[in-house]
Amino acid sequence: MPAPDPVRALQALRTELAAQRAASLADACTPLAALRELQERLKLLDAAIDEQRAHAERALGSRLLPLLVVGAALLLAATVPVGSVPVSLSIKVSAVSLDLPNDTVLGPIVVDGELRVEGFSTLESADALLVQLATREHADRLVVRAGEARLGALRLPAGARLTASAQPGAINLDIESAHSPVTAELELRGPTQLRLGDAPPATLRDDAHGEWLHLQAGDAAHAERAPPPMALSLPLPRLGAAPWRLQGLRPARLRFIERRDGTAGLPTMASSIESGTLLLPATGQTVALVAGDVLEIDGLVAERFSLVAGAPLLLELNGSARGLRVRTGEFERSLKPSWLEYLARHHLAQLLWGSAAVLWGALAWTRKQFSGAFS
Amino acid sequence: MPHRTRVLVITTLLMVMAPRWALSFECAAVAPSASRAPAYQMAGKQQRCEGFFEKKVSQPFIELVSLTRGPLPVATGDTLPPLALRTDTQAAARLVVQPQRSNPYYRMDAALPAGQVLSWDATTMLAATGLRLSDLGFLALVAWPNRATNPSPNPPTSAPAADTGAMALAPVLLSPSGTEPARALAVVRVSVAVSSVAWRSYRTGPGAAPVTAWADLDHSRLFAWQRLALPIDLPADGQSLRVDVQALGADDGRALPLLRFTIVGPRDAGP
Repeated sequence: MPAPDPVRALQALRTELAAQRAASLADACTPLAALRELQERLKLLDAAIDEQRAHAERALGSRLLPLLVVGAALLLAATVPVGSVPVSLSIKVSAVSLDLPNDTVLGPIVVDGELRVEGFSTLESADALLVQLATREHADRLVVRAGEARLGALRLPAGARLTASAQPGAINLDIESAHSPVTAELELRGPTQLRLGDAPPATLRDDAHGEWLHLQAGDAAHAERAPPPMALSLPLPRLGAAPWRLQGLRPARLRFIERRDGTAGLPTMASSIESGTLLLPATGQTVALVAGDVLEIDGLVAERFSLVAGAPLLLELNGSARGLRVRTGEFERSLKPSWLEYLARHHLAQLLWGSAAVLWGALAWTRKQFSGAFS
Repeated sequence: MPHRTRVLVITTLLMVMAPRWALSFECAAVAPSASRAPAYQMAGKQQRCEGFFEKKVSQPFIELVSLTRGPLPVATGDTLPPLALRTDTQAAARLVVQPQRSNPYYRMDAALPAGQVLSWDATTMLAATGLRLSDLGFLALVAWPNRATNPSPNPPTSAPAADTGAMALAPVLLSPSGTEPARALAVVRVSVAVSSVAWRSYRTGPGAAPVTAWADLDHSRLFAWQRLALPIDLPADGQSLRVDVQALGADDGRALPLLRFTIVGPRDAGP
């Protein structure tokens, strides 16, 4: 049976007393002392009622507090996104731009066709004639077609930005870096035709064994100086040949945009995405990307990353990202789930919630048992 | 936070972090073996790492597995005295000892300060791998003292040409002292069958002689993981020498990625 409300009991008492006072006032024979006593009693009763009301309000407040805390926590969990979200992406693009926070070495890549390199400041080779030719011509570009050619390594300093774009028949790699040097290491063998700058075509000293060339943009002795931007054009593998792929890249930021010629000769930046699928294992969400969508990935920690050469380029990655945004037209949204969504998707969270509820129930029951025994 | 507590916390932090600052030597970036013991790890408190590791091979390559000068010490009786390993360069080096054979994946890395001798007991490695002393390859990868622009504080940690480009090495001297021949012995190994191996050595820099022609090696048709020793005459003036080694794949006749390295001489101040 519920306990009688103390405020209500006091109020009943007060009503009764007030009626008594009214009756006494109407009765002229009532002594003044009795009236005063009634008046005094009413005052005391009013004070007691006020006190009880205040107590009841306080009790309500303390009962609501946990609810408020839980509510606030839920609101916070529902609005604050998780710090980093696991992501799996497979996407076909015409261009991709990667920010590489660490020193990176790309290659080796077997080059089957014409290779072009532009933007180097020095050429190093064991063949002194080629070095002399490059120095004399102040050559900053090289076009080479060899029986066998290999981009042995493309070395980028930390903080470089690499943009790969698919062109008809070739893949262009553009490198911008704030630090020097950027180095392309080539190995050539077999019948070779090599054009350095505007010089007439040169050949190798020894076709059968070949030669190595290092093309360096910037000065290794002055790493703080930005080198000129270097651009490489690598032919696409012939039909039937295995496509080359860039692996071992660990980009922190990805942008899928390309320059397009706009009206009045002004280039515009547009999405380079053709199609793709983005999987968010944390929430089980799959996002289909279509041509024209804008995808921005920041704070990426890639566990697996591969870029397969072709038209279009195929990019596959697994990792986690701190920023993940998709824009379709004017509609932009972050794909990072909130903590609430994240927790709701995890079985571990369900287990924890379940256990917490059972524990709380058990505790409440025990407390009730004991409070009954001791009071 | 009271002043005394703050001082205590900072002191503790400093004490915890100090060994990290003092220890610039790092183990090679290889995956320690999960199945074989001892797995590759830091050995004791020395600047040395040793043990079995895991390896994945993707591209065909030719690699340098040993570059030494002078003979191996001869074992006296059953016991093998610790090896006294050193170089005659002015630069500090990273010493890598690994089997010349492709198997097992076991290696030892140690810091070799300039002008010092590293005493290393090979019995652990020989007992764990079942190899003979003559099966081991020794490399001393040199960190150029004046190469301030190199962003990596450590010299390269592995030998394949595809990973490191032109690496700088000093021949490892295997015996305490004596008159070593002016000839280094390089041992190279191929990951696929090759039809021929050619090499050349040359000097660079102002006034350097023209590059010598490639020399095709006799009997250099090798099967996968076979090794080949190249005797390399070192320059009399103690300066550095560059070496290129080329191997042609037996399957397609195409060249494997070129193996290029620089042999650092005793009077070489840097590249």
